[in-house]
Amino acid sequence: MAALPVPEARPRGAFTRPEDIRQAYRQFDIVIAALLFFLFMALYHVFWMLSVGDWDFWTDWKDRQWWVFLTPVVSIAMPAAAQYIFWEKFRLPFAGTLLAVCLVVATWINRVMNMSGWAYFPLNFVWPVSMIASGIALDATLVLTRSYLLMSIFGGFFWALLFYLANWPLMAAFSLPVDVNGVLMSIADVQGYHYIRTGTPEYLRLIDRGTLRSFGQEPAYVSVAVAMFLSAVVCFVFVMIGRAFTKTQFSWLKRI
Amino acid sequence: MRSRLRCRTLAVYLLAAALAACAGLAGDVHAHGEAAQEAFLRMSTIQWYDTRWSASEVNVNDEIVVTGRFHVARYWPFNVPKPEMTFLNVGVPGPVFVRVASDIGGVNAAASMPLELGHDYEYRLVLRARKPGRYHVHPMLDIRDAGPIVGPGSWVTVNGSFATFTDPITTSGGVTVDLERYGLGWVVGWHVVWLVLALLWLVYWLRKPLLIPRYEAVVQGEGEALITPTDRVMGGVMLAAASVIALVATGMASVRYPVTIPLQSNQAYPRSLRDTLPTVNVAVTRAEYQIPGRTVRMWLTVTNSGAEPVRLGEFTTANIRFLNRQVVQPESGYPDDLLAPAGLEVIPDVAVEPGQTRDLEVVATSVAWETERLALLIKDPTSRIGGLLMFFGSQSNRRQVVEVSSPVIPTFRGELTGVES
Repeated sequence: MAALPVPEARPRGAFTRPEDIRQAYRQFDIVIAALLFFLFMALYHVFWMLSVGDWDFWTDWKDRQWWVFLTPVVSIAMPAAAQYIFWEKFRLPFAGTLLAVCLVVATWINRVMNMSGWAYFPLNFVWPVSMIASGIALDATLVLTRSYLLMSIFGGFFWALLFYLANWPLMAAFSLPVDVNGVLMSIADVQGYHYIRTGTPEYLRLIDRGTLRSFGQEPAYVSVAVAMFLSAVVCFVFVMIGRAFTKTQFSWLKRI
Repeated sequence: MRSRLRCRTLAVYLLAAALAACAGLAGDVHAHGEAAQEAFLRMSTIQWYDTRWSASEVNVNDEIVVTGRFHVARYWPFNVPKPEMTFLNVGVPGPVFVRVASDIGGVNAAASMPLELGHDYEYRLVLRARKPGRYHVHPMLDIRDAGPIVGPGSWVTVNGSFATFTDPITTSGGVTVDLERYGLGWVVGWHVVWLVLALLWLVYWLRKPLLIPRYEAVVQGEGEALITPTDRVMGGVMLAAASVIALVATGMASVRYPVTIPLQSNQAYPRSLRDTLPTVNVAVTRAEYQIPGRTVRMWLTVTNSGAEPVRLGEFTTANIRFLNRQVVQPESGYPDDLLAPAGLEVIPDVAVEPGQTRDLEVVATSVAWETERLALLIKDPTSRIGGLLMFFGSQSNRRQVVEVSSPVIPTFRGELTGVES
């Protein structure tokens, strides 16, 4: 960061010495960073619950088609828009990771306090996924390519691919077969059966339905491939939405 | 100005005190909205009967069994989706019990099932107590696109300690695990790994000046200088690290869990009760609900084509039972709140002989029409009353269950005008 022109730049206002300015900037960074962390936690978590919802709430919804496909495709929207803002205005390539961390903290708070603490579901039934690997990939492709288009293409691909590779191992533990009174079920299915959800009957689960099938009897690969492509598209669309957002914002920052 | 401020402060304190008082006055919740459903839905879709609870007090890890039967209305309301996909559920406040087994007609009810109109089904729910407390336990049938139809409820007290609850299951590989705690360490472990990697990346950037200096540099056209070759190398390293860790995790999972199956989404087909068809035929001539007296009165034409005389012993609708005590007595331990104290008045209360057709007037009076919100039928889009009539053979005591369904007319005066029997 030696290239930064900051400290020796125009001293103004109450601060006259470069070290005072540097310290004030740092304090500003800390306050804003803390506020942004909570803001992103709330925003991304609400968005997450409304879009991914049950597929992330319960192990017996984490299937090979919709969970693998829908989760990365919808969840890339907000990091993509934030990525544009942070890069365009600050040359900071960490929005993907930052939002993934905000999300994972918020979802764990929700699962521990709400779904386990208030609703008594065991945590091993309601654990959230981690989008951190995907977020790191999105950031890394941006800093490597320094292009929104290439970030969208390669970052979008990695976003969906690493989501599956990083989270399937967690789900594998709950995919062991069990004989339940003469019916074959996975451990996740047994959890859904044992832990009574009055508002979520079995038929409500949207799992393994659809046409993303027939590839070596492994629909997950088809779902991942489609998710990679669509994540790239959604990423670019939301980069553009982030761009539109910056057109009307940040006048306050200029004044500072 | 100061006095206005004092007034506002006082108002805030008073409001806080009032809210605190409300919280202190709040009593226990005694049910969970089973009476909130529309009356016609409860009286014209699924009729529950013969419900039994094996215990009213258990310890954590003990089991209770809920059994009974339900009748799927033949005269299903046309404005309610038919029960082409249903799931046998339990009406309790969350997973305070675990459902270890359930079946409808002997078929495992872990799967969703279609039901046939006009048929009766026998069900069984085996629940294991998980969390101490006192709970209203109902059988419940979820119907796709129509919602849940809640059966009768009984209070069950669970004693003991939540911490002692275990839920052992054995996988097909022969390994027994405690479902309550299984796999959590594996999940949390990987979350920690990813979090550490993320913090490495974030700290790398956060230790640098962040917002204003970088913004000024970008505005001054020096943005490119903000990304150094080291930053790009770091980006490459992080991408490689994330990819390698993800691949290692997948490989470890494959070794640790070599045999996995996808989530199962089965459909089952339950067997209905194959009782012989009832030999009693009932036509409802007219039905009235007398609002001031909380009384439903029905005029019936009953034909007995069987071999023995039959008497009307019970009318049940929406989980409320009206018993003709001259014919049938309630089972011991059955919840009092589901039995109408005044019972069922049958005029004339005589047997219908074999081959005879007789007009009967039945009078079902109970405050339950109000408390169970069944009187709100007049606000429903379908003003029909439905239920089950139970006739008993005078000699064999064989029970015959007959469904009735009829338009119902509310009357707002004390004296009824109906067809005299």
